[in-house]
Amino acid sequence: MDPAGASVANVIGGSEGEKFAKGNIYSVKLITGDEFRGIVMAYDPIPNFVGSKPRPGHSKNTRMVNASFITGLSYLGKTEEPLLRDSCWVNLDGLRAKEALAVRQAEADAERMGVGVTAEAQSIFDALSKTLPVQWEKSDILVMKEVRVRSPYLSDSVFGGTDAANNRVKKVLELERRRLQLFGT
Amino acid sequence: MSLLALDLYSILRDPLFFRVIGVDFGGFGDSDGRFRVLIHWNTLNSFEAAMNMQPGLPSKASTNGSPYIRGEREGVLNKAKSIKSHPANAASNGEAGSLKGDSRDGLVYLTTCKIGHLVEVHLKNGSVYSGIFHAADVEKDFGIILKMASLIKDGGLRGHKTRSEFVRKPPSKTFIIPADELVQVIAKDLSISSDGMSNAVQSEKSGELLTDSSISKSFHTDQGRELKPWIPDGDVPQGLDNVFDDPWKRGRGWDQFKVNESLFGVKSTFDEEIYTTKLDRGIRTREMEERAQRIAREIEGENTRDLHVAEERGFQLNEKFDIDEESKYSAVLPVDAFDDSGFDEEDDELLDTCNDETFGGSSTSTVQKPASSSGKGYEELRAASQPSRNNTSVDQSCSISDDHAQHLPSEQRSKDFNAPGSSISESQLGERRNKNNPEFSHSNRSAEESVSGHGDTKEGAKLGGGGTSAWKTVAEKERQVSEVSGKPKSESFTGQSASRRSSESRPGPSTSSRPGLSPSSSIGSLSSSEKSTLNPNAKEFKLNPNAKSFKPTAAARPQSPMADASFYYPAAPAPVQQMPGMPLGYGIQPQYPGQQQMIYYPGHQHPQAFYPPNAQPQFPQQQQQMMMGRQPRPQMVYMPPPYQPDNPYNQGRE
Repeated sequence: MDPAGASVANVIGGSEGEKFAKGNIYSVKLITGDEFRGIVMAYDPIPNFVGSKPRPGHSKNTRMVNASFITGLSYLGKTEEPLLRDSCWVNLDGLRAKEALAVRQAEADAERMGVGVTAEAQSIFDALSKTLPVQWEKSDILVMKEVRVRSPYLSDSVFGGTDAANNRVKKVLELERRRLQLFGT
Repeated sequence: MSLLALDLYSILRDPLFFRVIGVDFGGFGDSDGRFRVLIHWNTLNSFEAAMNMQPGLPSKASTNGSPYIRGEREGVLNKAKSIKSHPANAASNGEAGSLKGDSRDGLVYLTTCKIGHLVEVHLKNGSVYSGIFHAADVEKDFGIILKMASLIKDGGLRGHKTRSEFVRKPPSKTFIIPADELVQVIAKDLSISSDGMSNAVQSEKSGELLTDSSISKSFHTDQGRELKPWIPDGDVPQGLDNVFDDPWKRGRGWDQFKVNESLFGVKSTFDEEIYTTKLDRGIRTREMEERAQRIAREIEGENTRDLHVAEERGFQLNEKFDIDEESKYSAVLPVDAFDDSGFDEEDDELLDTCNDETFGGSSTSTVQKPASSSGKGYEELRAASQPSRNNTSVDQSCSISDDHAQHLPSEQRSKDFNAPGSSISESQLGERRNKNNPEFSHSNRSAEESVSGHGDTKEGAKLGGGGTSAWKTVAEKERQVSEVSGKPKSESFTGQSASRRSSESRPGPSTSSRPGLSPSSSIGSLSSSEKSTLNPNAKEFKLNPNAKSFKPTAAARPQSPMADASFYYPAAPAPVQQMPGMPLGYGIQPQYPGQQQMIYYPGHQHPQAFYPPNAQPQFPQQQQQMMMGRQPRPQMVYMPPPYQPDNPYNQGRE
């Protein structure tokens, strides 16, 4: 029952000592190269998915792993099972609300993401947005609706706007670039 | 069915999910369906119905009493929970076949918890997507659907790219991932343990307003959340840690304008002098400064019985006084308490004197004045009375008094010094009154009583305050009009008292019409502290009980406009119309022919027009006016005694 290092295998549900019994602790290696440790919370052989939770003390990352892609598995031990405690219930309405909220936020964030722009451009955009109202316009950053920063987003790619606004944007851009360089990509 | 119930119960209850349950689920095809439909909310109802048919089971999963939201569709697990509460015995022996449902259930539960959560999905090709977990095909193979998914890491053919080259794409609204490409789904910071409610709550917290009730609905609001100390991410400008420690020292260290300019190129146009007065640092500034300091010290060092001023100065109120916040700060004064807020005793005295002498009662202005602040000071009263006056004449008088008001405070203060405490002032007042005229003191007292008796909870001081302003205006008028007497142009009530004097003296010369008003002896007493503000030429006002009541008319009338009989008129509605607008308009030269109805008398119609003094000597007229005006005032309602409309005096008034 300890297919240490076993290759991908379908697991048949057994009565005892089956693989992925709840409460088992495994160190898992995936086909993607990802490795993690977790406590099995649930397992379903049909879709062959394992729900695992990291050991207490680690960050709470719940995973659902397609067991088909597990390349490495080492049994680490067993803990008590009640990871899914008796009181497990979900509030569907709350979840729905949560999803709606998340979607809203994601959409708002999406607005801030430039389409087809480099990550550098995006980080410049983000930096500018801290203090100035900015929005994307194709691949230009539109600051305060009047100053435009074109690719490659250098000081001399700042156009438009009043003199004061233009200078201000230039200055901010320079500083942000400097800061970005300082901190890496 | 019963088996189904048992199964569910056992499943949920049994920590060992995989323990074989001795039930063959094969025969209950729909059981699986029900499990599977956990995500398919539509069918939950049917499941619920099925559950309800179980004997001994609660029809509603309400036994647990959990305060979660009960929507029309409740999670299967909710029901299951209630079922669980029934100590049904589960036949834990099962066959492998049952595992399907059991094991699935756990996954289903986990999957459900992920709904709405931001998850990371790893695909077979190494790509990583991040999106909001929307749904999973629990029935089949756990393919999942993400919303607003965006590629984080492209594991495709292009291989891994550096971030700078990575071109972003807009997130996909809906992203379907088939199970065979799905390697793993990671939900970060998802609290699975006891209830999905906490998930919902946490997410709400992040973005939206949480009402208390929605927070309390959840059992465990922040259970197990790892708290991390905040570490600045390096963007924080240095040197801000102690900016607020010492405003004077550190203030030099942080110049927001400088920083703003250097960071953003924003040139500040802040000019401090726009907002403040520039100090004149000239030759004699030292002198002026010293003088200013001295005055400041004087002011601050003054003893004050005013609770509020003392508090501002930091003077600790004596604890043994039973003074709570209400008595300290309430604007409502007790009926029988004297205002001890530093009210100028002069006001008291003047008011009372005025009141008593002329109309033995509340001054008209008092009636008009809303029950406003206790007479803090003269200015206050004046100010308070002003808003209440809707008569232009009054306004004018008030404004006039305003002009001269500046002098007042100084006078007041000095007076305060001399006689702190209204009690003293009262006594002084009494003294003065006595000095003036024994009758007056008596009348004063009665006036006060009557005043209070009339339900005017303000003290006599207040009344006086209102009246004082009126007096003041009159006085000012006097001053303005008649430079003759060379009266000191004190706009303070002393002027008023002077006017009062003149009014007082009116009864005397009432018969003689306009005699020269000699400085009354009483002036001396009243003016002992008022100094030069009194009109030395004013005659002392002597009450003439036999004076005729004043009736403002067009024709000039020599006889005294005094009210007949008593000065204390109970509210007399009839004579109201006779009332000349004098009380307030005394000193007011401007003519208000149409404004005779003083505000005091709502609805008061004045048949006669007020005629401004034409060729008559102003000064006596003023005094007469005053006198006239005062007389008819009843105590409280400020209604004049019946006037003869044709009072020539009246004409001369305005």
